[in-house]
Amino acid sequence: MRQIVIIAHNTFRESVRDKVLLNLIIFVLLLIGGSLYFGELTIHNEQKAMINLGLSVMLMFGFMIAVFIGTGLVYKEIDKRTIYSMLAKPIYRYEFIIGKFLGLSATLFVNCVVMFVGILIALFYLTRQLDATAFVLLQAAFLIYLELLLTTAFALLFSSFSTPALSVFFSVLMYIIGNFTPDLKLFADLLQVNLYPNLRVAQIVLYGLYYTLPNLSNFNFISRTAHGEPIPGAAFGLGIVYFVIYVGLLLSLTVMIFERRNFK
Amino acid sequence: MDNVLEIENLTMDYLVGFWRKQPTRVLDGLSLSVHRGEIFGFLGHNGAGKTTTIKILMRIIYPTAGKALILGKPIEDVEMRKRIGYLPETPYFYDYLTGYELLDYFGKLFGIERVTRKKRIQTTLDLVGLADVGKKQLRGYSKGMLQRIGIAQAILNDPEVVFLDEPMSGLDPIGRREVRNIIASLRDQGKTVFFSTHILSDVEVLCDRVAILKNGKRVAYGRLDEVQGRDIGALEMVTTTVAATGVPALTPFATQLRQTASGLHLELKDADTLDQVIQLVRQHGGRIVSVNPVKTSLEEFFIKDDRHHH
Amino acid sequence: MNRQKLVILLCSLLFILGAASLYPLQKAYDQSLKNAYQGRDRLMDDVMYMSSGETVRRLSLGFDGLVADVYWIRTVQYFGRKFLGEIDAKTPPELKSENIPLLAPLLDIVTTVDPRHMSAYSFGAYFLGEYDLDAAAALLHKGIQFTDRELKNRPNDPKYQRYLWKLYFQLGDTYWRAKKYKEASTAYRSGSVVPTAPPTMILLAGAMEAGNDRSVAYDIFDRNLTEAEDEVSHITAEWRLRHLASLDERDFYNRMVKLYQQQNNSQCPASLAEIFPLVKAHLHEALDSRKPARPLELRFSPARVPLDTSSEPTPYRLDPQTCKVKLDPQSLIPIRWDPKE
Repeated sequence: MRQIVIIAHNTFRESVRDKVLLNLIIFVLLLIGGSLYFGELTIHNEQKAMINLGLSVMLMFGFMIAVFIGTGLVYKEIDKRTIYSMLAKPIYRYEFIIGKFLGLSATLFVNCVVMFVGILIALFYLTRQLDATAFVLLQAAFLIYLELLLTTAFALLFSSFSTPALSVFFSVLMYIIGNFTPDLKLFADLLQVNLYPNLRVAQIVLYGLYYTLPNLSNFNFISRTAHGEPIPGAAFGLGIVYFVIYVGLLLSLTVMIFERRNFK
Repeated sequence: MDNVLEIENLTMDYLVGFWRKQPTRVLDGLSLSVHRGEIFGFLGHNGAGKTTTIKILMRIIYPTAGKALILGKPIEDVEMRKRIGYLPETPYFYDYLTGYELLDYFGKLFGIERVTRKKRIQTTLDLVGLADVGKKQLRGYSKGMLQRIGIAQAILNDPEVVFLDEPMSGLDPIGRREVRNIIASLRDQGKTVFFSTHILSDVEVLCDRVAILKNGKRVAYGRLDEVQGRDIGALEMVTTTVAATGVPALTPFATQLRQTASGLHLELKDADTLDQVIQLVRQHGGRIVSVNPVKTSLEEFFIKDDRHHH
Repeated sequence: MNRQKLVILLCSLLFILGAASLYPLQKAYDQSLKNAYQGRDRLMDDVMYMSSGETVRRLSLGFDGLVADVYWIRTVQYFGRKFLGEIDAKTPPELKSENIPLLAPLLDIVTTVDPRHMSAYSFGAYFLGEYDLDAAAALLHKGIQFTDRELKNRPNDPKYQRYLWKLYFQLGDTYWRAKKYKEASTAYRSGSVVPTAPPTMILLAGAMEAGNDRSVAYDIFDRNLTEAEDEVSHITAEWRLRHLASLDERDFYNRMVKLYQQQNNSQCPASLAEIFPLVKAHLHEALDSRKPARPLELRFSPARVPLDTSSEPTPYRLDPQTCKVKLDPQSLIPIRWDPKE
């Protein structure tokens, strides 16, 4: 555990020194600019538009960090051979992977917190009040954070066996697919299996995909939050459980690959 | 004798080729042992399997067959790694860290306590001559400085045995001498040094024993003079000017004799005649400037080696 | 066993367990959302999130075609699901605007993001026309406006000419179904002046003005049957013709029932089989409304009950209260789209 924390700390330091957090400034500027723009443009909907914009941009920026840093995290160590001196140290390889994951998680956490505060400030600037929406907003932001961690785990998995360019491609693909899974289910539900029995196979395949692919929409409550709807407690809780299990699954797969790998 | 490293029948096959992968043997049944307190030279051409061996020992790659013990422990033992040091070939470290931070990071991973760590880092930086640039980010380090910070991180934990992969490569003559000195001082501290090189002279200067690797196979193993078959080989001698009569007197002993402006330059046929030749030079009013063995390049060594074995 | 093997073993276990729990977990999650929103679906929020097509178009960042297609797929799926009934429900829901609130905005988004999406106008208007003829007409107007503008830029493009009169044609149909005959007439007339428009359109325009003339309808659908370019139009024409024939048949049978009553002290026949002798005697009067009229092809069950004109003939029913000939509820001649019933 000690070693994991040390590696995580160094990973965090790496992303800080790479000026990853600079994007926060861009984010805050964008947000404030956006809020001014929306204030001009809309009459009743400022708050809704603001929350939509803020949370969406938070997801977008976080996603870019997760993918671009996540895919380079391990590959860079192999490519530059910094991993050689690391592996000779008294650490297990799984500690290395988990440490890397937690380090980037910390970076994303700082990002999300700052962005969240930025959203609150912009919101306050617009509406001159803070009400119960702030709490729902926090929940929604937390779920976005989990979604980002899931993306990071994917990026890490891909980068454990492929090049950064391919890993980025895979990660983006995964993200797109992950957001379309509800449509897979919808489509499968609509197949008239009773009328056309030979569609049964297609339906089973679609259901299989729906239940195994990452359902990123489980974490997306942006629009509902913008409408001031609370996130259902059960869905929130199950979303967290889903996250824990899926990340566990991805990390164990990554560790399995990484443990057996030869570094040339 | 106490062995800090024992390698037994180590074999490594790489799969090469993109489509239909063919196994290629890069290390073939290597066995050797290194005694405590000695400097062991691991000699071979580039691609002979030296780095592969060291990478197996460091668990960077997994061998196809064979096993190895370091300090009596199997190489997968993680605790044992607190007692060893490793310098990778052409090392590269996190360039966003300063030299000090890198050592601090690795020191933490070694589990060295804070106070001790600080002290160790300082003395290590002093030893490798980087005390002045410890606060500078590694991206600003020259190749030689990286090599030295690499040595620093390898000896940071006060290891019992140090594995150095090509520690002298890419260094200028002064740098090489400094690294040699560091290695020698490690032995003086009672540490075991296992280092790989493709340069024979490094081995000759430092090593107690060597193993020579060729195409993944061990072709020679033991004390350097044993390996070379006690054949010290030709000697090269430089003298001040000798009397005219001296030249014909010396000619029978030399394979080559050249008159230079400042004296004579000759190569002796037989090292055993050295005393006789010195005598003759003195008799003819000359003075010995230097006597050196004629450097056997690794190339020549292998030619000779082949001759020995076939 | 060394630590590494242990780690790999644990990871495999974790992986298997995790993978196995995904299915029940996602099921529970979906259920929890369903409970929380009482059957309201995710799509609702997605759409309401960007209810303006303009916003979507701007946000699509050059991927408008793709985004429009995605929205189109969602629209079709949304309508399909509503039309077939929520998956768990046994019966399809009533087609009312309240039950399908998103169809119109979805179609608006698709056609705003990609105004050239012709099938969105025409199929969209078909879907909408199931329950909201005004919305369908509005959508068609939007399509006509766009196509008209495009056609001004390239007056001789046969593709856009065809788009335009087809949209007018559908607009006329829609108004006809809404019983707005004047608007229907205008629509057909506007379409008929577009080059390449079929001559039936001007006929239709006239027919709308003249009121509801069955002979014109026969004329139009006879032409459609022979000229139909696509299967849907062909099937529609065939079905319309069967429908018209059925109307003529019912008129004839009602006359026969009246005759029976005249002969039997105003007593309604107990069964339609009883009018069979009258039908036989007056067979020469069983004509359709075509000009010139053609004989109807009457069909009967073995019990001599007259059958309807559908592809799977069903006996007509006699309503004992009104003593009128009606379609059987099971009949394939649809009642819903019949403006006269």
